[in-house]
Amino acid sequence: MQNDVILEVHNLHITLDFDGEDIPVVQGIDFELSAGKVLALVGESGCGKSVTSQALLRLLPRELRITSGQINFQAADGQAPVDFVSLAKDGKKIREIRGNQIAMIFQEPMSSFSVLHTIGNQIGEVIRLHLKASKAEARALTVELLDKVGIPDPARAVDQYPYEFSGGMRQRGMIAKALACNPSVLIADEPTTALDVTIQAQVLELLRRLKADDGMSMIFITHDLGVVAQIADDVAIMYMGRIVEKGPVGEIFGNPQHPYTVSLLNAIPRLGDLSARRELASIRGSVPSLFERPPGCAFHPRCDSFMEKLCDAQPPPLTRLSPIHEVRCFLHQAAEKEAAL
Amino acid sequence: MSKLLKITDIKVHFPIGKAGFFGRPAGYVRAVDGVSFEIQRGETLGLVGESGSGKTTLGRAVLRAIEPTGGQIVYEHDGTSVDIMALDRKGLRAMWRHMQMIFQDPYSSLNPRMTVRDVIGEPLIANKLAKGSALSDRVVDMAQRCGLDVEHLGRFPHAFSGGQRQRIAIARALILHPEFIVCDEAVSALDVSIQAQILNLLADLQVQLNLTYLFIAHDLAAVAYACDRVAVMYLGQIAEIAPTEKLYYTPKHPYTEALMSAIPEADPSRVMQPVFLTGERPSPTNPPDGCRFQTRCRYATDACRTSIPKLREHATGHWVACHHAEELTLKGALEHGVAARPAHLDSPTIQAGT
Repeated sequence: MQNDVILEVHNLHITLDFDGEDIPVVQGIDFELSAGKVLALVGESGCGKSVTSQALLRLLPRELRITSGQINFQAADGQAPVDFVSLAKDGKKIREIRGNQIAMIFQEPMSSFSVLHTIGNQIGEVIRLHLKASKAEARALTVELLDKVGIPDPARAVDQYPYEFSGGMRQRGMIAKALACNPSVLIADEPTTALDVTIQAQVLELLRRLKADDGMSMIFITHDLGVVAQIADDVAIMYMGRIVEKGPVGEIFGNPQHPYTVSLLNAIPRLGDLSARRELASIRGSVPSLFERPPGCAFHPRCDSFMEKLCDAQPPPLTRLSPIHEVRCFLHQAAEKEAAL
Repeated sequence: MSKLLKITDIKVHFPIGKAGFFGRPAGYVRAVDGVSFEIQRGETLGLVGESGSGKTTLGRAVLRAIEPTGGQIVYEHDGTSVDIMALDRKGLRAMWRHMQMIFQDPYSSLNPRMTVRDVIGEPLIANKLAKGSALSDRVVDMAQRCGLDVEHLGRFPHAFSGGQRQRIAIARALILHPEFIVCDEAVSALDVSIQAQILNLLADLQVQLNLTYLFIAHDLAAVAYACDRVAVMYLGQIAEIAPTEKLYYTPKHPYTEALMSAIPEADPSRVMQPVFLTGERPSPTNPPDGCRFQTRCRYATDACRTSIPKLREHATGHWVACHHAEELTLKGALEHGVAARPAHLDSPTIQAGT
């Protein structure tokens, strides 16, 4: 692993067991997360972004299985990297890392808190479990955490129940819980999708501050390109279980090269030209079901640049447009060949 | 443009905590508390606000799908003014042929046991407007207008994707040729590429069928794209209502400023600089004195704490409920960072190998 890379996913394949038949869900994805950076996995429903995020911590439900690949994690203690795929699914080793060195936050904060226990008890439990702290120490640390994520009057909030928190407060509470053990990586699965725009702005600001002040690395899963533009350093665009394009955020938004990325960016309503009321460029058709995966490049039935007997014959190989910008599309492979001649 | 609908001082109060059979309610949730506006024929009026602001309740109250506690609704139909509040059940049902609704969730709004043909045609049968081949012709015509494949009309809703289901829901809403449609978060549950398809479809149908929309949504970018004018709701009241560009670029209400400055623009070179709201939203059971927004407003003065600002016409067509609208200079959308719009985003073409 390279020096500042903290988490590295290599050729990861995940399949769905459907009545004994293996349906591919994630088909060989690669990405790296560098220390202190935010990597966004972006795509529409069914692209495999959430499944990938769950696989990172070996949290996949039973019917989903990692069939091959590596998930290498470089712990902060400087020891040799660990490959999560080689660990037992619910073994001691992965449980030590999960929630401790890598934490996760979800879209729906209500379902990640028990309704029967106070916020303080639930965050304190994580601290006592992982850090072997006493009850009093855990409580003091919890108040500190609640304060850090911007919950007003943390000394009072620590004794409140989740139902007493508003949506935005619960999301902050969940972030506080995730931060309890001072993890080096935070995996955030659509953390702002269910929030109102003003609360979303606050949560994004909080995550941005965690990155800037604490050097937190994040994997951010979302479908919202606006949020991506505001928080991410690097972006991987996913479509039907493959990363079709990857690069720094400025490069992906400023110089998109995969037809899918270009279409997505054209399909979002923008605020810059309200007077024009132009027609939005939509992508025809919809994402096919996992059971009807098109052969070759999975995007070809919806693509305006479709080339017969090429795009539908085999998956396009990875083309490196620059040291930082990768794309999987035959358009670019053809261009690369021409340049070589 | 002529007026289609005028609502005046609409209120929807839900009683809470009834004590005993004859007991009086312990209080009221003032979900909608005195809202007035007009909608012109052929326009799209957006209605935005955070969850709990009362926008969905208002959308339903306009059709009397939820019974308003008070207020007037006057609907212009065939050259006469119809007082919707005065209609009996039968009269209301007859008016509903002209006023329809499209909902957010295309998964729960379609009967799973009916074929798509029946789902779309049911309103015609229920209103005894068509049968036999006339029915079938109208269903096919509307399905085609909504971009559905006619060969698939015999299938059941579960066989369709989210975007296709929303097309089915739209076809069903439009089959009676209504004039006025309330779209309640109609594109919120859809993926980006599908959302664009449905927004374009709604825009096309509006022109083809001369429709008027009340477009309720929390996605401010989609609203900006879809609407001619936008109304902002806060705690059951209208804070501001203005033509879209005016509202987004030069808001006059501090709450609108907080909303607009918080829209994450899909452009990494524009760093968002939101105006953060402090405190929590007050309960609609017990709204604050004076201006409803004063507890979270950074510009609030003594006047705001004691006197209620009326919704007034600040400039032509630009209505605002704020005492200080004239003095404040507020941030609009896109006022974070300055960057020219990258040229490639204007053209959908791809330059291979550049």
